[in-house]
Amino acid sequence: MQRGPLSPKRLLPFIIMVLCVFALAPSSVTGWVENARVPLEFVLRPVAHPVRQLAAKAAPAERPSDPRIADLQERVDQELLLRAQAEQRVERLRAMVADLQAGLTIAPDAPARSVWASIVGVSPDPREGIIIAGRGDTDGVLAGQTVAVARGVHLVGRVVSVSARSSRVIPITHPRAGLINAMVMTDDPTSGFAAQLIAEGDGTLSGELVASAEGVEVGQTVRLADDAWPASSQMVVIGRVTGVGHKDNQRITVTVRPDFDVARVSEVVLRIPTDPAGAPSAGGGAP
Amino acid sequence: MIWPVFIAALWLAVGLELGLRDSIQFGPNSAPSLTLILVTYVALWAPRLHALYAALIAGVCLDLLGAQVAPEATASATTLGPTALGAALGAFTVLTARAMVERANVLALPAMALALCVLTNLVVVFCYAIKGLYDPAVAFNAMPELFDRLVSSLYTAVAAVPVGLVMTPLARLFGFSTSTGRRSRGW
Repeated sequence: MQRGPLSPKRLLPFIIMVLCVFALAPSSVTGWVENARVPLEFVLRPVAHPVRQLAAKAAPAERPSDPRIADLQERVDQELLLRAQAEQRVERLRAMVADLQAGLTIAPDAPARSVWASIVGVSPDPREGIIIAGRGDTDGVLAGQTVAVARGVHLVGRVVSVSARSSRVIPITHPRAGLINAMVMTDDPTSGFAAQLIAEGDGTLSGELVASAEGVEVGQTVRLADDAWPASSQMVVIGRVTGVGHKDNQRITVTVRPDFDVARVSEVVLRIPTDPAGAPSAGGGAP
Repeated sequence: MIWPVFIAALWLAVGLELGLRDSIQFGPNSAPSLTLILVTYVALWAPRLHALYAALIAGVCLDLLGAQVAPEATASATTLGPTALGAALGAFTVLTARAMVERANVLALPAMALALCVLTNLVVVFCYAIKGLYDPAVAFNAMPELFDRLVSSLYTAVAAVPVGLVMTPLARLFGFSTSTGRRSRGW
């Protein structure tokens, strides 16, 4: 055993004391330790990434269906997304005009660019629910303002932290994703009912419809309509209604399941606002 | 202990944990920890100081790769220390108990892994519960976390059975002495 002031045996209590301080210090003080994650993730990627891809191939995130129907469904989803976004843009412009006429200042729509990213791993602790995308600060990813989508229109989650070459996404199906304001689209694609959804932890989201609603049925598409999320992600698909119930107070409850198992996707598209000033602030409220 | 072999095993264990965790998880919040099984294995066989440092290194890796998502899910915070301290305490417990354990027994590693995981998770929950009192970036509900982590610990112990069957014959590769009459000493 090496002796002296720097012997491993003497260093051990000192290291443990330092770790105790780090463990209990506020995150604002110890935030810089996240920088150490960059080389660690880089070193682990040769193992984690191929294993993740193999696991994704063995159990695909997309729910199995006829490939032709899936292709047609994807096209329909794309068209409906464009239409819903156009409708929402019109509504927003109308509101903007009304507000401008009233002398108020409105933040303009934040345009976004899309970056493809491979999912290189997940956080070791399942309770954290985080998936790690292989794009980061160097690609312009912004924490809190970038959303991850699958197949262009299906919402996966929001980026919560970014390091140089990777970013961490909290999937919408994880309870820590918080409340999500959504719109249940009825048969008329231009209208819908607002709902507040929360993840149940079993891959579904559920919630009450904000107003008494008629015509909500199983199979209807649910889209994001939450001002706390970036403008570029509004009206992307959260999932489809898989259950409708009624509460004692006559309110309608819905259960929503994403078309993808969002915690197990192998690749995503990150939608990064090109004008971060127009993005919502952290902790922005629901409409 | 041969440190390069341990580092390679840690690299493999943490990498597999990152890549496979959601494929082998049980329920939404419980998954086995291959890294903590490795820490238990090392604590069963390695010299005391080696085992404690190995636990600290593995714990620091897990801490750095984890993140607590803040309320509103717009940011996350990484805390260095809880898992490292918990793993060190768990390793210390295994080091204390290993004299009473037949290390080559197929159930030794699972039993010790259960103890190590439970202690590690208790320390983690304690640290985050304390920190959650004054740190707005940490939203932590201790009771559900404790339950999920107990299930994860049990699952880790189950996973340690096949892992132990692979790892126990590799003791010599790690430089561990498999004879009972001779103890490894020194750094």
